[in-house]
Amino acid sequence: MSEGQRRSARITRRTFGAMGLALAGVAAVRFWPEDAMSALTRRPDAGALAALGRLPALQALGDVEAKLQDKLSGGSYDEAVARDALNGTFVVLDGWHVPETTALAAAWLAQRG
Amino acid sequence: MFIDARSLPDGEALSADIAIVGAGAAGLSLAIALEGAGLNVALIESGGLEWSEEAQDLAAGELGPQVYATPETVRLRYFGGTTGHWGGWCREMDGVDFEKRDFVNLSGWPIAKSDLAPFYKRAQDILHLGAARYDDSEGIAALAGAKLPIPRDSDIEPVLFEFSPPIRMGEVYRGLIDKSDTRCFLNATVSDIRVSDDAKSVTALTIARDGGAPVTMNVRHAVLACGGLSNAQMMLNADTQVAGGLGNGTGQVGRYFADHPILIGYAAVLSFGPEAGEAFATSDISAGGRRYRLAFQPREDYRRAQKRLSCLATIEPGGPSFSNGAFDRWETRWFGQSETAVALAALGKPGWTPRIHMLNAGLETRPDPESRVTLTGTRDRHGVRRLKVDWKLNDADLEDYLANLADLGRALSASGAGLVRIAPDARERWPGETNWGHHNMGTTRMGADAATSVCDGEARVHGMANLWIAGSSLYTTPGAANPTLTLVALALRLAETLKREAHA
Repeated sequence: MSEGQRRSARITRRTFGAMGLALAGVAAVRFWPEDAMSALTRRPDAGALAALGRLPALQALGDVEAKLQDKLSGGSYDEAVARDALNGTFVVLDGWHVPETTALAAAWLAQRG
Repeated sequence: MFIDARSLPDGEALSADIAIVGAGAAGLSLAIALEGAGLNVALIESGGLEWSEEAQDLAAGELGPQVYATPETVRLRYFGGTTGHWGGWCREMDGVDFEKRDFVNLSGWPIAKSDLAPFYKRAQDILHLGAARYDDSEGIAALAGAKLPIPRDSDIEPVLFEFSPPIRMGEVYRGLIDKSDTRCFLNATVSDIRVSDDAKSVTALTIARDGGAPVTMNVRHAVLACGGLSNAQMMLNADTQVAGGLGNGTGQVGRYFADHPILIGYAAVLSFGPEAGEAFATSDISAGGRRYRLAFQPREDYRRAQKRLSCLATIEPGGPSFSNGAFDRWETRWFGQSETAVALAALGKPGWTPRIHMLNAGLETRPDPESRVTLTGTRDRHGVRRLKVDWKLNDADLEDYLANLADLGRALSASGAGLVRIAPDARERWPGETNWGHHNMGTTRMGADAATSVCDGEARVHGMANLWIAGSSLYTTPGAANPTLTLVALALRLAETLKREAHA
């Protein structure tokens, strides 16, 4: 459950009790916009990103979670990647010019295991 | 008609209104354009109708330290010249190529692209090309059923080469010259250029041949169309009356030698998704009975804004594809560590088999007076001093290419088409691991100032009333496009000038 969903559950429990919580829970899981970090873990290419993140060249990116959250604060992963590409914000991996968001996401997913 | 110079009697008196030295792309185009002008035109070719070792030996020379093709392999000395083995890549130069650019020393042709426009159209016909759709990449790709991987309004734009069949001009135009009034002298090597007492005009050409004494051809106008190396060689060698050679009062003849460095394997593209993959895999496009090649180059205004030279990067069709978690053919040197590329490839669209394509490029270079053709002390069997080619390459030209590549990567990534790899050791490879286009340019460059050029904007040698140059040795700056189309256009333009001059 995302932080947004957890906050919603607290408010609902105080206001409507257990039944309301149950009903709202179903709605929240189905309809609450998923946060970008969680969405990242369910991408079809998450495995490939995690494999990329295990490359030694990505170990030096520092606090990748904070940096990634910052990158994704304005929208989805794909939007952040497109912004990097337009701005030329790349990390160079063995010569490949990889959008910085992709590199951060890869390193973060690798750290999660 | 064809005349074998070896059959001429000793002491034969020859004359011509216009003598064209060299029957390659430039010389033949000029002769064809002068046909029917009511002028006595002589076309003088050092070789025969077919390639021979004896004629090719006359092209031999030496090289400087930079790795380069030996002079006897870079060009062909027989009727049709180097069109006998060219690849047929054609593309007009861009408008910016002709401009004075403050970030390119000694840039600025004395003519604009608009001056060449009508002649480009006729050059298309000479080279058996289509309708000059070099910047209609979208239209051509659509005809071929492909979608371009980046939009036209990116800083890097998709453009096209068109392929000539490739036309072998010596075969295609042999019949035309045979039936024409132009007298084409074969096995005729110009070994000296005679000038008036004031050295301001050419009076005669000395023609050496095997098996007989040299003969003399009196001329009203002489055009050197011997290729980007030998035009300079001929002028430097003609020093019996003028120390240092003809048109060389300021020491400019032979300088600014340029070729297009062709960088193979310095970069690669990983395609994402079927549309981009299709566009890359079919970058060799057939449409409407014509053959094209997709290329990428920085837009003209972007080049001006970034103060950067151009390049024409082509994606080679084919390349290893991704299957069963690995690439089916692997070139670590070109495409990097396999684990990196395999992981990146899996980021492509699901259901699509990613492919890596090699990205090659021809580079524009800056004019360099120290890059030059000079004469050696060795003479060929006709007494002409052999040449030495000392090609110089500058690091700044590579840096511009690497910056253009990074921008291409940005454009491809932004459109979701794929990723670009620039070889981490690119700077170490340069200039030792550099190929070239066999494009000899710049050695008798055009310019307004005789202190930094050899010919004026009409292709007339500075200070000479009737000595003219045809060919890519005229190029003030080389651009990035292959030179043949432009040199044919320049020759056709020169034909109009010569008609006016000869009838005046």
